[in-house]
Amino acid sequence: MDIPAKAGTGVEAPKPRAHRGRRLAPYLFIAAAAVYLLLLTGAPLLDGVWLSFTDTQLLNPTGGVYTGTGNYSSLFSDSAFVHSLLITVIYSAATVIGALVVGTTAAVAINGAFRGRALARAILTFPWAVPTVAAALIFAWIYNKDSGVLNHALSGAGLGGRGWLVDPTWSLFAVTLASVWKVFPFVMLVVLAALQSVPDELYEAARVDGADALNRFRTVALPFLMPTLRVTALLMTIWSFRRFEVIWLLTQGGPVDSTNALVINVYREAFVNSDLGRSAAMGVVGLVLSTIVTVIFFYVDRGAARKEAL
Amino acid sequence: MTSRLGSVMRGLGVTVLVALAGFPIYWLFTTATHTTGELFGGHVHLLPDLGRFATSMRDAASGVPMLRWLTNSAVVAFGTTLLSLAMAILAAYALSRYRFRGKGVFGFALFATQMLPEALLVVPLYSIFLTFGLLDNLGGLVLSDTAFAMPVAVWILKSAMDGVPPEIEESARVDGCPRYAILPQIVLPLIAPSIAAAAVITFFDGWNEYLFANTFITDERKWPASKGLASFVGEFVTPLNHVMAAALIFTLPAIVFFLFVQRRIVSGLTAGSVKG
Amino acid sequence: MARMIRIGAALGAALLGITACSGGGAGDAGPPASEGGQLTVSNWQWLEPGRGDKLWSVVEGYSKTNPKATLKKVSVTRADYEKTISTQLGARNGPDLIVIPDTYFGKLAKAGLLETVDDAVPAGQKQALNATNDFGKYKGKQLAYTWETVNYALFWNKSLLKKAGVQPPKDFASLLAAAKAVKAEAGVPGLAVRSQMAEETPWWIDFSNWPYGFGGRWSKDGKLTIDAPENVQAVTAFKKMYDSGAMSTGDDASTFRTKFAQGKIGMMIDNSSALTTMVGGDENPVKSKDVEASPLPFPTPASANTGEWIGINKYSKHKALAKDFLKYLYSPDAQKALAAALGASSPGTGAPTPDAFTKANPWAPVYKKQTETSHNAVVEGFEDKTPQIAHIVLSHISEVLIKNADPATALKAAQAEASKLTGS
Repeated sequence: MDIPAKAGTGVEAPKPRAHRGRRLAPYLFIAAAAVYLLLLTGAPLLDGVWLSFTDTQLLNPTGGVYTGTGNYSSLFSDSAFVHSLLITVIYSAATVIGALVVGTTAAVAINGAFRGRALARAILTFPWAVPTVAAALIFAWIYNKDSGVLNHALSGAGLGGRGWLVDPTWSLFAVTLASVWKVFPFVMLVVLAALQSVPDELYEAARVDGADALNRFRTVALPFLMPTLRVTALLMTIWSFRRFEVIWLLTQGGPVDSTNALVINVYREAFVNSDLGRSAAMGVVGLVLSTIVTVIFFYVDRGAARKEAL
Repeated sequence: MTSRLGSVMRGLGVTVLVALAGFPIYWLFTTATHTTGELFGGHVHLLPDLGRFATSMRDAASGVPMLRWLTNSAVVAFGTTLLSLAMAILAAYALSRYRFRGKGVFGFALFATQMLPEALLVVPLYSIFLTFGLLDNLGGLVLSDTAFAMPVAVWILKSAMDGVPPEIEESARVDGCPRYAILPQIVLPLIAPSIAAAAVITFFDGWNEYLFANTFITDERKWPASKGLASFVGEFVTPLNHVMAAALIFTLPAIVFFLFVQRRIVSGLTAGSVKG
Repeated sequence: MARMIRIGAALGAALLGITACSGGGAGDAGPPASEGGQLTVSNWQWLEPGRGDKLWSVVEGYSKTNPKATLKKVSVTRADYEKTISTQLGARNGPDLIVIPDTYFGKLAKAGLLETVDDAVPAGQKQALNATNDFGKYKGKQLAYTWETVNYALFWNKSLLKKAGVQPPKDFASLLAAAKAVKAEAGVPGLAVRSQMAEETPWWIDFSNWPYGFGGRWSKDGKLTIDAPENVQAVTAFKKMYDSGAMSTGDDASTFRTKFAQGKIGMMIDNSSALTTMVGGDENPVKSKDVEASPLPFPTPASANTGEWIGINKYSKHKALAKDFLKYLYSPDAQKALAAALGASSPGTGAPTPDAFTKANPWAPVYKKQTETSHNAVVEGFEDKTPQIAHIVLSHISEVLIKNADPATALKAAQAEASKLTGS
């Protein structure tokens, strides 16, 4: 699974007689990062996979006994677990799409000079910067059924309030909205940076050709942004599979399991029920989901890069 | 004509976005400036009580070592940013400019670091940190936070470097620029905005990280702000206005400072560039 | 290179857990108490505004009897307490002394992470220990002593009940009627109790008041009794209250407690520590004298309680010192100081609440008296599985509340699921 360099930038494969240093160079460049990650995340990752085949308890993390695929078969015979996979997929899809749309729109909107840009940018970066615990508390307060400002506004408009966090019809929506708010600045910051690298000449040329703003974005900026957007979408997806704090702080997976995403179960198994083995098995299922998405991404990315090269 | 319409449209778009995304922030601010009695008295107060702003901030900060918490967070956040960027710039350059055996595996591994839930990381990491004496140590937090932040930075920078045509590097070399100077003097200035974006993202990753901080740091003098803020959430009652005021104290200086620094990063990097 | 190999070896060892015992090792008593040293004591209560400092100064009092000892707080928020302490204890590290919530004790005891403390408190002092200390026993050994027990009762805002023209309720029917009257006359919720899955652990304890009050239990003689008729009655009553429109159903505990202190809630069923916190501030219009309490308005006098026990980490490096600390903590003077710091709740001995406190909080004796009939929310015989059982039962009760499932059917399903889990 080789990542193709983007069209036009690919440096040709090293020639047979290339200087030894030239061949070694990439390894030197990645050495620090690779060793670092191997130690700090590779080891726990392998540990987690191993734990998922044992009956390890949180209070005795080295005393687990190998139980084969016992954890997995018990998971997949549990309808609540299968339901939580579904919740995870819905939550992730909605959050990723929401964050990409809002983030990209925000980046396009504040790209370029206008009065109050610094303030707009500060406000739009704020959700990323505010601690999650404060974000969860403010959303719980806005969503509050009896005293929240949202229901006051809705009642004022004659629409009537809703139990945003206590009614299973609305809870997943409410949690997703809070999540999109918290993470869209990531998309915005990355896309904004990419937009600023679009050469001005390209815009000029399009302007001379008489393209309007929307067309200029579509024909000039978007192709430039696509690689960035694809990577961002992948990261957002992986993060959504394991985003925990917002959901836990707002609903703990309730009401009646309506927001019970996979990662909530991972946490509950490990830290409430102390069953590290089962928790790890759930984590590995999440890992497999993420891996599938990542592999799809690499194929799409490769295909897209080829197409862009034509 | 088109351009005027465009700018009006944009003005409208920006306003709507800022209003929607800004509302929770506005509400956080409004909540922070009201007394408990006003908040729970049955009426919704739509406007912040600006006169009470200073008092609420003082109330929230009284009796807690706010400055120390902020300093600790700053150490962790800066450490995370610097360490992440240093490793990420090199790794991103390799991914963007070279083909080499194991590249796919390395690229995938970067994403794999983002896949494991914290719940499963914290137990083995605690054990490793215990062995290496990294518990109760801000440096240890920098190490664990970087493990998460750095791969993200690698991908942001790799995407940015992909956008820089290699011809620019070629021509610089023809002009006599030594190979080791290509990355710092040619490539980095061109992707300055992305470096700044990666810096913001890694900075706030470190600034806000809570799970590792909560488990690894027990010494109260070493608490970062995220843990300090969580301590406002009481067992019986959480004083909403105080938590919100504290959240503002934790967030505002960082964001103001960062937006200022970000401009300097971009202009600093760009100033050093050699136009291709 | 040698360094790399060392690091690699250490890392491998850490993964395999070989070197995980950097603590004292389970068998080692540590240096004698007379040598002193530093003791770390974990509790979320250190963070409590007001009471935290008072409790800590009782703990620090130990350094007066043993000047070579120093004490250090380990403060973790209530929400993160069990998971943080578990992670640390699992790695054979963590605080020397641990304040342990009742629902957590079974897990620590079963995992063998608590030092036996039978010998820590001298026989002369042991006579003072009350019956609640028996909960700290596991397989005949004392693993922890009572730090605090906290009772539940019904309490109300006197002026709101007066405004509604109702007498304090004595049974469920009058509770429901009173709640409706308060809602109708004052326009505020008549009753507030927890009802949300987002607060699972504390909701379990709060909710246990209902089945206990109706004469039920979660288990009897080593068998789960989740679907017992008394429990079905209790859930049916709770559902009636939930649907009456007179109960606050959208607020978490922090919110409705704050509202009560602002005079916006009629009645509550809650514990004495929460009530102390609610009426103790400076800004709240509802003060202690505006509140009255009574036993729960249910068929039997039983109610739930909650509490914490204090034990010694088996892997502590200062076990001898920690035991000496417990000897101090259960001395009459320290208990007296602890009782004063605790307020309306009780320590593990008969140390009395100071008269000044009772005078300022006339409702406090009602709570104290509940000790005779209260029982904690740990499922007897299934101590270490209590969190799982609680999750199952509360999930099914949520179905009753939100999706109108039949109480008897729901509890039957919960009983079946919990039995499967416990293999009974």
